[in-house]
Amino acid sequence: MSNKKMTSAAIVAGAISAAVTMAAMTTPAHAAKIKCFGVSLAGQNDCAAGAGTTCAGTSKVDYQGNAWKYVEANSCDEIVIKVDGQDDRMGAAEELTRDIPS
Amino acid sequence: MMKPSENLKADIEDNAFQYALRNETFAAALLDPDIDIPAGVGKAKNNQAPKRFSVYRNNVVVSLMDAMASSFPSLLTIMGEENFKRVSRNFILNHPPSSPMMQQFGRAFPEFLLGFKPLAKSPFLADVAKAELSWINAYHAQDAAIITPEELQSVNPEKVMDLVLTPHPAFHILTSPYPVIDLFHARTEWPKPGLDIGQAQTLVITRPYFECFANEVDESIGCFLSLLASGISLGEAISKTSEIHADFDATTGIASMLQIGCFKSLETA
Repeated sequence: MSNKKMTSAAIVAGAISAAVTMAAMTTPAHAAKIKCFGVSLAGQNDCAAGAGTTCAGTSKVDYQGNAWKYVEANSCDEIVIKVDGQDDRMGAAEELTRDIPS
Repeated sequence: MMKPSENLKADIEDNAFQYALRNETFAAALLDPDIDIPAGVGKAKNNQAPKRFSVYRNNVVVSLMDAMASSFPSLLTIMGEENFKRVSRNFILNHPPSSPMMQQFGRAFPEFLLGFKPLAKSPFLADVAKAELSWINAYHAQDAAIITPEELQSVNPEKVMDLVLTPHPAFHILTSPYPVIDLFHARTEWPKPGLDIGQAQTLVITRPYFECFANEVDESIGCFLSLLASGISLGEAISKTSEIHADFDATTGIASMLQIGCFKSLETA
């Protein structure tokens, strides 16, 4: 008898069911994220899309208002950056006008 | 006597030809310092033109080297700035941009690296270049939603064998005999402690929402995803993968496919 596994519709359907359960049980690998402005350190803003693009880790100052970083949805508003001797900075879902390099 | 309009048309064609010819000579001289300064450049005072043209020549090459560094940040880190500059300069002179879109510049870099004698002992660099190019392509790929678990589950169980899936436009897969994922991450994490250059890794790049991801999958799942992406049916892809990899688990394969977001749509034949 050959021990080569036979693939049948029943097996595949079973695998799909199990896979869907597995995919639902484990945390989604990539939960939806949102852009959060004004929280990225200089040069560490997201969207490294290569030459010819304007975003690629190009922010010049810390917490630059028009540079963004991907964060978990709903967590952007909760980000507060405290720097001694400066006003607290908050993240925002829209571009900010503060901390723009001259 | 020609009508004025015909005259004008002939003039334009002649000018276009002259322009193209001049442009070609000009472009060649930009990248090759051994070529004389193109005709028409050289009317400045005190014969400053050669010096100024050299400055321009340098600006062109340096800007392209900057573009290479932006597109291949992991290679830049792995090779070090000096080496990367040397190699990218050599590449630029042999493969000047062929499209005005800079994100398309560097497509020939993996092949160039493979054929570049001084790097013959580091063949893994070409795979890093491929990974970095795939990453850029994934960013610039068309938007599309990914298949949801619900969508897959709603397929009639009798038809699942014949399911054919269409890859998401940002989906890229790279099966490498080298630790291509660890090397790809050199852009953010380098040096990598415990890196084993002989370790094979399979990289799958996806963009399920706004963001690109570099996912690691094991070899059997990589094989399964490649087969599915090639357009064969789900049943066939499972059978073939099981033949090649005895340890392949279809459930894990399908779950991975859903989780990392490899496909955009499905249809039953």
